[in-house]
Amino acid sequence: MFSKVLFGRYVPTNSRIHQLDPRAKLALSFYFIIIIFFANNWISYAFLAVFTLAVILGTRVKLSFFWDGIKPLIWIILFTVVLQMLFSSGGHTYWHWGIFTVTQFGLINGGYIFCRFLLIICMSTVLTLTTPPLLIADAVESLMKPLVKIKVPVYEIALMLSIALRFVPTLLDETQKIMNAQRARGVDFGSGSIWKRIKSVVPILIPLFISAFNRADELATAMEARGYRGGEGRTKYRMLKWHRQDTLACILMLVVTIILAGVRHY
Amino acid sequence: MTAIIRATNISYHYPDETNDVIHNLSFEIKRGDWVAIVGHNGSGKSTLARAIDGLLELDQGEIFVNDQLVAQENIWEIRKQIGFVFQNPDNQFVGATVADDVAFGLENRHMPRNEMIEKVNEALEMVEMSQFAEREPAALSGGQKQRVALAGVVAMRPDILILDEATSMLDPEGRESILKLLQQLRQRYHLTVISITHDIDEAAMADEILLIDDGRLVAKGVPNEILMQGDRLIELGLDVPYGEKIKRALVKEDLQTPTEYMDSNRMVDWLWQKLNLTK
Repeated sequence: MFSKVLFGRYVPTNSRIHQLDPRAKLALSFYFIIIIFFANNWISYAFLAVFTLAVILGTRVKLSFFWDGIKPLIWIILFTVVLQMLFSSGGHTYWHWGIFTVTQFGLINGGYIFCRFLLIICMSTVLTLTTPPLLIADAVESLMKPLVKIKVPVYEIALMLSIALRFVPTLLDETQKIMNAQRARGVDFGSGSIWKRIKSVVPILIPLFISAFNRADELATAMEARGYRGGEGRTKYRMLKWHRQDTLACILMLVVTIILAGVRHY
Repeated sequence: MTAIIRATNISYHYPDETNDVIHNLSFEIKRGDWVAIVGHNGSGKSTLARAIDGLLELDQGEIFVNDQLVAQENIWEIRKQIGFVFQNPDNQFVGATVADDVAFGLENRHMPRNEMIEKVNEALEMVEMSQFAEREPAALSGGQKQRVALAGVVAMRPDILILDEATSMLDPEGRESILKLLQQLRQRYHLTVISITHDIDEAAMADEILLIDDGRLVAKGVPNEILMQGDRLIELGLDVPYGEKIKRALVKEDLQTPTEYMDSNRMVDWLWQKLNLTK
């Protein structure tokens, strides 16, 4: 039941996108998500969609994995689109009832929002499908390094992120054990009203939290015993390497930005 | 041989408790020895191990490691000399992959990367886990996890290895392979091993046993001396070795048995002889 959680969705296909430096992938994904908001007409959205599709195909990951990324969010997307359609004004009015109005601008904005959501989800899914979580954590640390100067505890944040990733499978396993123990004593997690289902989660959370705190305590002792005394001055076993292909990816993104700026005026 | 660890009149109690967990303990551990600290659950043996590594501050007494007093001022120097393997392998992994975890202690020592890679590879090779270097720790078996934990400790080249019930969560096969590996590591790196355990068969492998009860040292000696005191072991809430169990059953039936300690192999040999059988 926990096999479809976000972490560990990495699918190794050794494509060119897989081989990119995680820092490049993380920074460019963020950058792309920002420039999506600069698209202002159907041509610019179509251009970004074609680019995203090319990236998706370039990952050589099955399309169903991307659908798995969109599926859990489909209701939020539709809800936002419908809200936009019912409450926007401007242009020709097609339908009107009480406070609800369907206008020309409302429909267009709804369509734009749908496209934005889709592009953002697809691009962030590209990042998680092609980069192991550990390397994403390394990239976060590396990109945040300049913040050390303004006393942001970057090394500690990176270690926390890495430990959190490391404990995801352990805690999922623990949750499964607690649920099985409770099922064995007659708890039914799969049926009843929503309220009943929410209530049945509480007896899982309490032992899970107690166990997580105990684990954290033991881990802190183990870290201390292995000489951990803060991030300052620690050397790194895992080093990220910037290659020519990463620079090329950045140039490609620059080209995409220039084309986007051009098609905005159509 | 000189003492590598010396404890004099040490006592400790947990902040929310009134009774001492360890009370007025004094002992010495010789360099290169394998010492088993044996006691029932809650007898204070794990607390003692933590005190040696400076993981808690004593109420009274002193501990010396390599003639250095364990104190806040030199705690990191002391910890460089001690490797600690805990009971639950899941709760001591920091790295997201096996190699990252082995490197964790070396990163803390600010070791240059090239040297670090060499040490990590050597340690993983020593524990026969090289092929798992890029695996997630969660994907390993209990025995493999403890091998990785040992690699993480051995990579730091300590003088002393403390095992806090490190084999108690493993199946018999995993336990046996870890104990075998420990013998190899001990020989190769000239380690002094302190094994905290309530497993009598594991304790039988040691050069010396310290018996702890309610935070007090109640007996100290070579395994043969300690393990033949069956009544005393039962009194202290411990198991009796298999060979001794058979001996006790034979004595109950008024059969003459040798007075010295016999492990299961020696007991089998003696029984063969007694029954006039040949193997």
